[in-house]
Amino acid sequence: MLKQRPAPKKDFTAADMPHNRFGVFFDVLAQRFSTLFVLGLILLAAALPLIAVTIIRNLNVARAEAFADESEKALLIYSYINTCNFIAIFCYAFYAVLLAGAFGVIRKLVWQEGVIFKHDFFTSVKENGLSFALYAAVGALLYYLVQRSFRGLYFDSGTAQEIAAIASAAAFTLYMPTIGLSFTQSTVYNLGIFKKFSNSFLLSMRTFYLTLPVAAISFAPLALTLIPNFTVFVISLIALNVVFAPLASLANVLYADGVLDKFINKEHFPQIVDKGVWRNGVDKNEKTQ
Amino acid sequence: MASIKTKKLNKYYVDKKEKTATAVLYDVDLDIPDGKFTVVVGPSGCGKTTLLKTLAGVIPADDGKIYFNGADVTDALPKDRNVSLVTQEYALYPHLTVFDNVAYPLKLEKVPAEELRRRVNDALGLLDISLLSSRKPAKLSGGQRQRVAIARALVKEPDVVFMDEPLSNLDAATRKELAVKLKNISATTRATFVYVTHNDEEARFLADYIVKMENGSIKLAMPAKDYYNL
Repeated sequence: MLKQRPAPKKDFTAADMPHNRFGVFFDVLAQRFSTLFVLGLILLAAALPLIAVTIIRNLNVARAEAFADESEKALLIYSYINTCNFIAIFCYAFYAVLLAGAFGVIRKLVWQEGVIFKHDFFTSVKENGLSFALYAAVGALLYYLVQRSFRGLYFDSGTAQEIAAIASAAAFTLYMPTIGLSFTQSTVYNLGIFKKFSNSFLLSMRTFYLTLPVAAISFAPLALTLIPNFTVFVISLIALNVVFAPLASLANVLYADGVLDKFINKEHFPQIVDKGVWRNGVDKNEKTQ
Repeated sequence: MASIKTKKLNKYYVDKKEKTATAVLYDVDLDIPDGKFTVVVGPSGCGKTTLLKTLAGVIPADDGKIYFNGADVTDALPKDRNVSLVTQEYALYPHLTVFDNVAYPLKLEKVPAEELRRRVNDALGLLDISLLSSRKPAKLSGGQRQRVAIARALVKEPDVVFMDEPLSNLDAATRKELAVKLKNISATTRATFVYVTHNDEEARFLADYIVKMENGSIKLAMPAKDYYNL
């Protein structure tokens, strides 16, 4: 027997729909929590190679701590971290392929469209997986270079090493904000990989004061994985993927939509400006009820 | 669309304790024209709902034959008759969105995703409920829930749509609004509608064809304009 709650006396109208992107965020969270949870489980599965590499790295580093000779210990730890961070580039690329699927589903949720989960997820993987993997791999490579160059200062604090460290950090700082915009563009426009990146770079430069903090908040919880306690580390990784990753993706899509609306859609694609948002309780694309 | 014909259709309810059988439908001979909006009227307990459910295949006939477009469907399951049934209880899945509720019959038939999306969006548009696509039934009024149920009935493009007093749980204003909507939909779709009601005003407004029942039998069946000119 299908139990129904008593029907409200009033019709649900456009005035009851979310009026801004914050409203859309909480509306999707309330209405489609189970969909977000399933996406979280998929992302957790996608993160398993990365989690394995991180655990192996941490175990090797812990084992290296047992070495008495300080310089030998430092070199061993440096070597383990570099090797694992390099392997992690491929793990991030793999993760990003499935993240593409998640973004495809989230795109439908944000635009208040019907979701056919399996179809929408795998279509997005097929259409956007390669670009997501590339963007993620570049980000992971820059992160590897930052780590390598800053840790390398322990062994060589010369000018060249310092320049390399600063340059890699600058490149990483400039690159990371573009990722969310690149990912979101992939679910909206049919553009080449480099065109989307150049759009994202220009847009993130124009909105750096906002895009950088948004990117920082999106990636900040990764700091939890630096906690030395193994149990906390594992719980953090699970929570990060199952809970935080879908929410961060949702927030990123909403933020990026705002930027894309302002700088691209307003002029070129007015029909998708504020799609999924019912400002003033009116949707220009729908009849009100 | 489909014409519906019955020959000596009988349905009994058996009381095992008393060891008696009561005829709920008795020798029903019916000829419903295709593509028309047929309204079945009669007093409470005369067998209207039982007739509807037997024609839909939800309950089996005990005797007699049922034909859709000349083909014998007496023993066919509801899914093999290409029919839809709308009742007054909506029967929506509370955990699914409006989109998913309407899409459900198409998912069972494994309709390809893009065609499914197009047909669901068309059905939602037909009932003016596209706005509600991502909502769950708990948020909707009674009238909106019934629109979703009707959209779900129409999305599979059935030959016959059976409706068992679908508007009776609604307030007068909403009933009127939905009756107008149903009239418009029946004019634009190719389905045959068989609609049960005890509301005379509703019957008069909706019917192209009237079937009047009494005590499990057909009293009369004729075009509505002839019936209301009697």
